[in-house]
Amino acid sequence: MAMSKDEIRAAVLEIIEEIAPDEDIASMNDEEPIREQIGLDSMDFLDIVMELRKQYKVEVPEDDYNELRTLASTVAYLEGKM
Amino acid sequence: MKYDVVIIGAGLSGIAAGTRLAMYGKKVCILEAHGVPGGLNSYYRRGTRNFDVGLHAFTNYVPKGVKGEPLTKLLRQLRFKHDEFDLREQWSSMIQFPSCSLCFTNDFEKFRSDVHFEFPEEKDNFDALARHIDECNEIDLMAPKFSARMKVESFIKDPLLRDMLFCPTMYYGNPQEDDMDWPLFIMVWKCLFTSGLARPAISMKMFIKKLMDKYVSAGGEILYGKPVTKLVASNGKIDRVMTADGDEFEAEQVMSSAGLVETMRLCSDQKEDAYAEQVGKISAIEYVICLDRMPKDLGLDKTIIFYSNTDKFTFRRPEGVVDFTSGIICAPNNYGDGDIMEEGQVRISHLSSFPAWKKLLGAEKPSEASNEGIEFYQTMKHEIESRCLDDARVHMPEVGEHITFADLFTPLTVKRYTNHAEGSLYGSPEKHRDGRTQYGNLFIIGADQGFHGIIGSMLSGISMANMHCLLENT
Repeated sequence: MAMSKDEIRAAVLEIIEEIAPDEDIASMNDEEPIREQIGLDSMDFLDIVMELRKQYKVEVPEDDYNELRTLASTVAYLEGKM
Repeated sequence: MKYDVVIIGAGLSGIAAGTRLAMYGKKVCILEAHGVPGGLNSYYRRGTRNFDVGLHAFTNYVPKGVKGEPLTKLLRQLRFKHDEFDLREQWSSMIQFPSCSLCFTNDFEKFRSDVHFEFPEEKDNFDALARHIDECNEIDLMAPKFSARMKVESFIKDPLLRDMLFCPTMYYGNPQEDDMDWPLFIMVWKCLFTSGLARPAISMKMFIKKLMDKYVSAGGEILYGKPVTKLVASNGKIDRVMTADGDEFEAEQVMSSAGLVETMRLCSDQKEDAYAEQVGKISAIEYVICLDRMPKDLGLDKTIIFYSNTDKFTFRRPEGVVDFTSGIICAPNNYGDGDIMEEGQVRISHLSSFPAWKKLLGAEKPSEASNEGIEFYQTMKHEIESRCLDDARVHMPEVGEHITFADLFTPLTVKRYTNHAEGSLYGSPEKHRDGRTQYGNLFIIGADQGFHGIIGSMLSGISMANMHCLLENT
């Protein structure tokens, strides 16, 4: 069964928390760029992509990386894919 | 046995690379020659004591929450919390020359104000240099080679200040004689001055255990007592990895932390003395003294002192056995509340010549030497030890009465434990920042890839694993 928007959001936050355990994930804003809010660099960003593949078998091709800019856009992009 | 990736060496770069690969589902195995992990930052036992092999400090220290720094990157990539490393900061360190001393702590402003006070003419020049360095990306894999001597000279006019800046930066990671590669200078500058020095509250043994636990729980395998003796090459690729006991391993990719020269010499189609011009010449002795009290109680309250007995600082392999004109004195107790180690300890290092020691002993190992050679070697060791003790007395006049144990290691010891050609400490002066070799599936990680220090060596393993083994397939 496909995951709901809320479930996807929670799953993405869980991945971010795994990658950056020292950051305050709860106070993240859905509309602002993820990278800037918790200082993700390109290496960390790729980990989000790789964790999505590992945990949910979702492939994010390089051309779509921009879709993962904010939490809201990430959830919208992943809806129906996981 | 068949693996996705075989890693040569369970040093910090190998463990870090392995952890990344195992985390993302690669079947990976580390082959380690020795019985314990850690490589150049391992530990050894003498009597009832565990000694850290090479560690003075973790450089690159930044407090929790500082973004974009090497330590933060490393923690995230390996999924550690900052608190898990339990790092304690240095007290303060010093660069000491005959006509001037400069102190530095983990607060760059302290260093800056010391430089401004001692070199008022150089105020603006020093600030311009610091700003320029700040703007450079030290872990840029494509950074071109450039002379750091020339670059620093273009900012700083006073040769004394220049040499005082080069003394600690060269001692803490320069594989090259006389000059230094500019990107490396930036990296060491940042890890000494703009970030800082720290030590984990737990022993190096426990720290490495933590890393190993992460590696193993991610699914990584490790085999001890497996020195790699041959990399079987054909058609520009490594086909098989062979170990001393005759075992063979097949792998899609091989990552080696053995050093560039050392790795190339393992390849079946290379000569035994291949890449001879790339052997690093910088090596050192280190004299470790254990005390019945803390160094600070004997008068040494600095964490690390980098010193030169002449205002002109030279950094090269000495003509004789040891060069006493400059050195490092380190008190590993002088971090945090001063309670991270139970026993007081002081470590004294000097530049030293591998060929000179080898000539003296008449062999590379005591076990292969004549009785006469061993006698020469031992006599020289005693002489060096008493000179090192004189260095320590400058800061702790009574040190001689409080020694409970002492141990000297020489470049021959470094060679024996690390197998680095000519006992080189920081590997080859030629770095291979993208990790690539002439073999399509063989990559260099660790010192010869070119990142520096404990944090740097782990980042080296991580970035090479990401670039060559994980991202290639995305």
